[in-house]
Amino acid sequence: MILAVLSLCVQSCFPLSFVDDVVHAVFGPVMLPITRLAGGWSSLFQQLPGGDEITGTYNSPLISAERQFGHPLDVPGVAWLEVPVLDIDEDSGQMKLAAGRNFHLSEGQIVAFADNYLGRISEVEDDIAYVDLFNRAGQRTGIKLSSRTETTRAVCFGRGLSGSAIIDWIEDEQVVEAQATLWWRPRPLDVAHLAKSGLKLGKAVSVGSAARGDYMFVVAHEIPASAEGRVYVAASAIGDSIVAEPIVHHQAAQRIMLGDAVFGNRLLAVASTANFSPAVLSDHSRVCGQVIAWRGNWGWAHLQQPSRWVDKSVALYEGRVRLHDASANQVIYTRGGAGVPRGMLLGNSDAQRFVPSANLDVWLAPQSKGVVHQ
Amino acid sequence: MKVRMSVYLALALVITIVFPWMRQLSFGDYLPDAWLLLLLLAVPTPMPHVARKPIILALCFALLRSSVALASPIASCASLLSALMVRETLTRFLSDSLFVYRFSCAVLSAVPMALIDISIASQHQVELSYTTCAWRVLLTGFIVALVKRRSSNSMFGSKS
Repeated sequence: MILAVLSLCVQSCFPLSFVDDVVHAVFGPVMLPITRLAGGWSSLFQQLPGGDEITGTYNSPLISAERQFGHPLDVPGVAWLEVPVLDIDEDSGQMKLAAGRNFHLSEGQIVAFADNYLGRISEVEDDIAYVDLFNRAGQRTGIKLSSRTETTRAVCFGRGLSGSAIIDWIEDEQVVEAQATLWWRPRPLDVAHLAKSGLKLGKAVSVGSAARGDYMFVVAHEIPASAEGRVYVAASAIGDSIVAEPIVHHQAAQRIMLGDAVFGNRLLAVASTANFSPAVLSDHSRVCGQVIAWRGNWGWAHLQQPSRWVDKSVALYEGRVRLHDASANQVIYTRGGAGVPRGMLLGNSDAQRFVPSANLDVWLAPQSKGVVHQ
Repeated sequence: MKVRMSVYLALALVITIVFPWMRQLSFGDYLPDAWLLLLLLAVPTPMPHVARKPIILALCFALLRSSVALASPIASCASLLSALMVRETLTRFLSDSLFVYRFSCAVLSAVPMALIDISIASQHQVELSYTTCAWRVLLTGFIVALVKRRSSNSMFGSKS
């Protein structure tokens, strides 16, 4: 008996999801009518907004801005394939894309965002591709440096977690100046016109000391926040489509009870016929909160004010996407990851938590499940 | 005896329907857990030697509690059963003739549920302050100590 109770306590505090899933599959349908009954009673005393049936596809301004800003320059003989990003580990120099062989991606293709050269595809699976960013350890990338009068070639060498990529070899060292722009230089087998696409890696920054003998130039770069959503892959041959849309599941849901008997009105019970475990709940395309437990055909969502999405939200600044600055009041959007689709409207960052209407939507971006951006 | 158990189950069902609303009242956060309270009041101390009925009651209460709470049925079972277990262990050492003993006993019985609730809150990043939990535990202890004066008024018949 004691062991059984202790096991239950351990499962409660350190839950194994499959045990909870089995229990919810068995008892979920039994519990739902009770929840509805309790929700019906509670709603008699609550001022709850009603619902209407207006639904439709949500066109995120964030996604539009990313597309507008992120598309590199068109060059003859090259198409830019738009591919959603699943994960970026900027420090170690790895990126995971949500498309692969089925989208006609192949190893060696270059990946860019706007005028930023990011790296090359290193491994391709059916629906996933891995990119080695130029700062990945051991990655060598040809660059071109220009001073006021001259241009020289160089090679940068990625160091991964050890630090920024260093400019390893310079054809004419006299040409290098601090803060010089480092332009990407194509390999012999790359499409020749790509040299005209104006892709750059960053700026040259000098570090170390000549007296100590460790003076060198490194590449100062930063991946734009927009590139967390989608990047562009150069292709000289393409398939049926040049846009790989991220997979997003979406289903209508109904509010069944506002409030929880333990945690109060921060939680909301919702029911849906969704055949997936949703990650986020929205009311007319505006996010109300994250779905934190799902019991077959109903579950619990945590209602949150937009400001609680710290590090999980982005905002538009003059048409460009940046991580949300907590001190500024602006319209913010979901950053994506952990099953939450990117670009969903969270609202004004200083807005309060709101009571959702009766008709809601649940969402899941299955490819980004479990992904936490660095 | 069966009638008594069904009365408690009916009462628990009513609590299940009404309590989520009560939790949202201005003082609702501090209210003790209604199912735990009912269980501690319903099950006699010491428990019958064959504790089948108290366990069934705890399991039913757990299912009802989980219907209207984020806590899974397993977490609710763990909370309620461990409350019974803690109380049963303590009653071997503490007489329930004094208010302070009954209070201490009930408070300590309510602690596992508070800890499990805190753990669930942190798993899901839901706010649940220690102060709120402390109030719930203390109120559970106070009400049980006040209402449950004698151990002999068993709902499940005499000790066997």
